[in-house]
Amino acid sequence: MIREAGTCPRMWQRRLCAAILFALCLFYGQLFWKIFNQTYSEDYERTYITKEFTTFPTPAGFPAEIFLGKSLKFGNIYELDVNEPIDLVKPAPRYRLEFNAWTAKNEKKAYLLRPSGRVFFRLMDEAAATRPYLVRTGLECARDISVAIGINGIDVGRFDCKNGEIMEKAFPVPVGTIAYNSYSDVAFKVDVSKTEAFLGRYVGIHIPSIIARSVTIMPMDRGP
Amino acid sequence: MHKIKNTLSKNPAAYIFALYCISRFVILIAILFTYIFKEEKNNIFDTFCINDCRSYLEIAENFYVKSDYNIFVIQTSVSTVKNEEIQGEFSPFQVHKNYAFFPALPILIALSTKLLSLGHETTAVILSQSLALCGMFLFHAFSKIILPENKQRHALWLYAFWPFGIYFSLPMSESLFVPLMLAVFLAVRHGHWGLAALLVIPLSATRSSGFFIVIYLLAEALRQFGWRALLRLEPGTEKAILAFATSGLGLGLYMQYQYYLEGDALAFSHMQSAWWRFFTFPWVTIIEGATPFLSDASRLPSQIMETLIWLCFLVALFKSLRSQLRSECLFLLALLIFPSFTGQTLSLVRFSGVAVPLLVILAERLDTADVIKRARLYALFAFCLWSVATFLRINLTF
Repeated sequence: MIREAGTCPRMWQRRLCAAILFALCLFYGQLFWKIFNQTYSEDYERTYITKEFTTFPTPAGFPAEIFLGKSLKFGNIYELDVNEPIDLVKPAPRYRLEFNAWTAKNEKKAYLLRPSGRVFFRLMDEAAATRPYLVRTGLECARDISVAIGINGIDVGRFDCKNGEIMEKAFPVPVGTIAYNSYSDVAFKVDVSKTEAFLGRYVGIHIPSIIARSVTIMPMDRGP
Repeated sequence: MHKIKNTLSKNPAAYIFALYCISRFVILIAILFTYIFKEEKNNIFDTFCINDCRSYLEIAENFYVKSDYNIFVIQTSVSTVKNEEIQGEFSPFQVHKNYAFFPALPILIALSTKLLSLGHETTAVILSQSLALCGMFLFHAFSKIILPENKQRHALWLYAFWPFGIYFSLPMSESLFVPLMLAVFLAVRHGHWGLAALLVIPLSATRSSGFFIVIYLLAEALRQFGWRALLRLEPGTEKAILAFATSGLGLGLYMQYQYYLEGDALAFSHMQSAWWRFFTFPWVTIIEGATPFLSDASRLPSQIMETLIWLCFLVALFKSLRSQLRSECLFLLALLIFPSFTGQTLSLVRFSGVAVPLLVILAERLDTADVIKRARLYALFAFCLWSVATFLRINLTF
């Protein structure tokens, strides 16, 4: 009932098969080339990553653009004041982003709202890529929180707080490490200096914006 | 009555059709039962149209609509929020989710709509029912490969009341995937590699995992021709090699189209993040899926159930690798292991349900002359019937 082998085809059938195989190889080849290009081209980043974000003014000397993900506007929770005026408290180059939604008095309510604000910054030049940054979250690790660092939308570092302890999750690209963990401030260091591919790309810091009172971003060679 | 019995016993086609009618009637009763107890009674079609069905209909009606696609926004906005928070009208999830659904079934619905001059919903129901009937005929032909005549009907019964079979007669990818998969199995088993090379194109355009049919083709080619003949490209092997090459063509064409539409050939994969699917290892999926404090509490019972059913299928397939249907089981294993790398137990039950060759193996091992074993078979049918209703309830209330 089960046929065990094919029959010998004519020469023209073999040639036709070879021609179709060749055409398929060309098709798959150009497709792989397109995927390769779209993944690694700057156009792809500009087209698919940059256009949805609001850029905030940055003081001179700070080698990064800071902006807030427009995605904050989606969904019910974002109808709060999360993306309302954000204070950039100087002096430069320290960036302190205040989250006004923290004004919600009822903490439990704030938790129920499950906000997911995201702050992004982009390293602008070569100097920026060689400099580590300190990101102070202003978060109390006593709560269960999760802070994630993403590059081009892919998580490359994540820190979970559980009962005051930080648990760092290993990712294949080590760009983020814990800088320090005090009772009221979990900070981590973002260092992309050894990964040149990230120059000029978007480093996203995902933090729960209502739970966090503020985020401070500063180059580490300037001191906290 | 005697005449009907006589016709059914002599005519396999009539028997299959009768069994199809009975099983669909049971499913219809289950659907109506669900509709009665449904809180919101807007439209009875919504009771048929569960899970991904609505998305397929949307695509059939409007095809894929070019829009302000931004995968970064999609990925970041779904990475931390919950289901109810991304249901807004302008949510990127809502706007772009259709890219995750493959085009073969919507194209078939759209073509049938034009042909029948009926509404999309009605056409989709007629089409999926026709595909389910077609699937039963193909399954019967497939079961003949290893089963003696007296056991082929047991296999048909198992297929007809297969609890996951509900998805085979709904306007969802399974309704097309299962008949196509069985058709490929049949074509290859009977040595029609040219036909198989054509059939695998729509298979990989029905579902991304359809591409794994290449594993089956390779295993069968090695069994039929031997690796020496394949490597030397001996006469008779070229159609098999052509079938390997075309197994990704459906997927490739869809990727090409997405590149043309949005400049992202991987949009179908990127959009999986809208269902919180990200690359992870299977053990992470299982542990996180079944651990209360690592997952959403409301989803936990479903996650545990989905994981257990999936594991049962994996074990059954591993054990069946020694059977005559080794190549089929190998393909199905790949099909089932693949979604476990996505970090989500979501839809694992549906994905597992396509493992219908297991029913042939089960029918082969069932000795129905034994009264106790026959009783077990009836118990199995009862379980299947109960499951149809239960799964519908779960799907509608989930």
